[in-house]
Amino acid sequence: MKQKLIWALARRHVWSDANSTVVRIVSILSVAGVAIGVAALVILQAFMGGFTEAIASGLSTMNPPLHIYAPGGGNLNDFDLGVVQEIAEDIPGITRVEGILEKAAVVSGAAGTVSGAIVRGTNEAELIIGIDLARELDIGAGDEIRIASTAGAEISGMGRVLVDTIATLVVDSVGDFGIEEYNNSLVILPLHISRNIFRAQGELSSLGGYVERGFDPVVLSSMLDSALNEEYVGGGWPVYMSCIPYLAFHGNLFKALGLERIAMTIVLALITVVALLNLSSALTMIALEHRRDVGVMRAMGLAPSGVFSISIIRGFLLGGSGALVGLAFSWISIFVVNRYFPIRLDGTVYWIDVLPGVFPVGTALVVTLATVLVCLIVSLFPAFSALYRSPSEALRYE
Amino acid sequence: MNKELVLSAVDIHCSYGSADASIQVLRGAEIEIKAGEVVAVTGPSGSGKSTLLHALGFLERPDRGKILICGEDGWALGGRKRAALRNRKIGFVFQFHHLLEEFTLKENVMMPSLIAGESKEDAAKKADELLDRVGIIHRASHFPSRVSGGERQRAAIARAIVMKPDIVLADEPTGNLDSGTSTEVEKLIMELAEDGNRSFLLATHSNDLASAVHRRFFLNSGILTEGD
Repeated sequence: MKQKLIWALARRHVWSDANSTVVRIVSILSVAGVAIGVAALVILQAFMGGFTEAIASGLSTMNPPLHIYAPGGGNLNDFDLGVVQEIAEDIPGITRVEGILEKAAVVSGAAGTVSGAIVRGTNEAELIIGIDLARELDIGAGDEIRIASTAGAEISGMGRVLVDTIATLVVDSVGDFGIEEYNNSLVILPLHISRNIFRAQGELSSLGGYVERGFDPVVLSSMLDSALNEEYVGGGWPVYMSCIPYLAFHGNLFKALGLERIAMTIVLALITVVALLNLSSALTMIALEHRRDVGVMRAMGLAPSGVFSISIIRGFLLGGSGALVGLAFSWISIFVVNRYFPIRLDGTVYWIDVLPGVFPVGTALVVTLATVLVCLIVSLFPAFSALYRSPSEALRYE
Repeated sequence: MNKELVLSAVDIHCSYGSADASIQVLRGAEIEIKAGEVVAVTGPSGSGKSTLLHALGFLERPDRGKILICGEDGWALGGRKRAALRNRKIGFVFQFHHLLEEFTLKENVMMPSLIAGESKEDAAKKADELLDRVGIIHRASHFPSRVSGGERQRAAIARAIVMKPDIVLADEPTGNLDSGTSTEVEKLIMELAEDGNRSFLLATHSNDLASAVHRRFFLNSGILTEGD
């Protein structure tokens, strides 16, 4: 019963109609301040995280997570693929390794259209063309495209390039690859067709390793790289094949995004600090307003620990309310923006067309708990003041 | 009178302020009160009546002296036990009632019982009985700001005696009331003292109240003397 009483006292000190107008306004403002601080942090993390995730997801969808290549840009071949497949079998978490042949080519679609493209030969059974490239070539699924390769080109006596490989192919589907760069330049087709186009039988430009869900590509790539190193260098060969996680190609981008996220988090955390200072003044005002009440409670036999608890709970109630309101506000804001007011981006600059907000559950939890914890710390000062003040002094307070 | 000693205070000294600018409020005050006695302390404003009551109720630590309530020295106890002693043995009535504004009159009266750890039902039952006894049961669910000064002071008195304390320390219980209401509250205090064989120590300016009590003390310049 005592604990219930202490909670009831703290709750009514904070929310009672009997409080003066000034204290009520300051209490509401301090809750609003904490709510805005929490919401700002969560919303920032939602959109910064959403942006990073969308790019990483787009890159990962279009590329195998493990990239195996020959240092120095040399080509690989089917034998190398067999070697890597054999080594990868001993590494748990790598599901399969495939060969990729990727080269630049010229593509034309409807009459009068032509564009540069990246033609990627994989284990894919269909020919898929990026949505923006399809638009540029004015074609759709079922239409024909012509791919011209300079791989087998010869220079004539007149100095002209003679392109002797022009393949006419039917587009199976038009794909949205998630990233602008892929959408306006990528053509994916079966490996044997690309080998024909580029006159590169048995040749591969790189190998791609796929990873089982739940395994970290960075760890697996390091393991595969070590195994490859051991196989070749250990056997007296020079370094022949290396493995890196695909996203490492864009490491600088992700580091820059991470840095920007940290900087913005610090700036927005300052809003929360200001809100907490406001909360501190609100708690002090509430403590002053109820100083005599605390003296009366002491006279009635409330132990000093009860007085201390009341002050701490006041801070918890104000800070916790603010944090919860902020959390709810941020969730609703992210939902509404995603659903009704999507933030459009220039895909040629940002790779993605829409900035997605992903509610960061873990971060939101950490921000909320940290805010409540700081609120408790902030309430320590009025709590200790109340603890060490004699009941008589509190009773005399007017 | 061969009754049990409820309160005993010996050589009580109290002062305020810093060491070099100290104001001596009580100088060697001594008082004894037995069970069922109603004692009044009179004196001019600022003579230290409130300080005396606070010291006797273990709300203000005296510079010197010994205070026993039912044989227990509150200042020799830790904070929690001293609080429990106040809860069980001492009731307080203040001049400005000091009811908790956020709680109804009934909740205010329930408060000491809840602090003692009693169940809400028991505390409510006791509060209802006492509010009925002091004549304001019809105001039980009202907040202090919605009732008259006399009703507030009655609620404050009910709150002070809800734990059946051995002694009630009342600081100017009628000091803020009109004469008619004062008379009613004075009458109530005397009835409650007789009903429960309960001791009262009243700091008062009221001659009517002071003349109705068993013994009177006069406090002036920090010196407490028995008699007028």
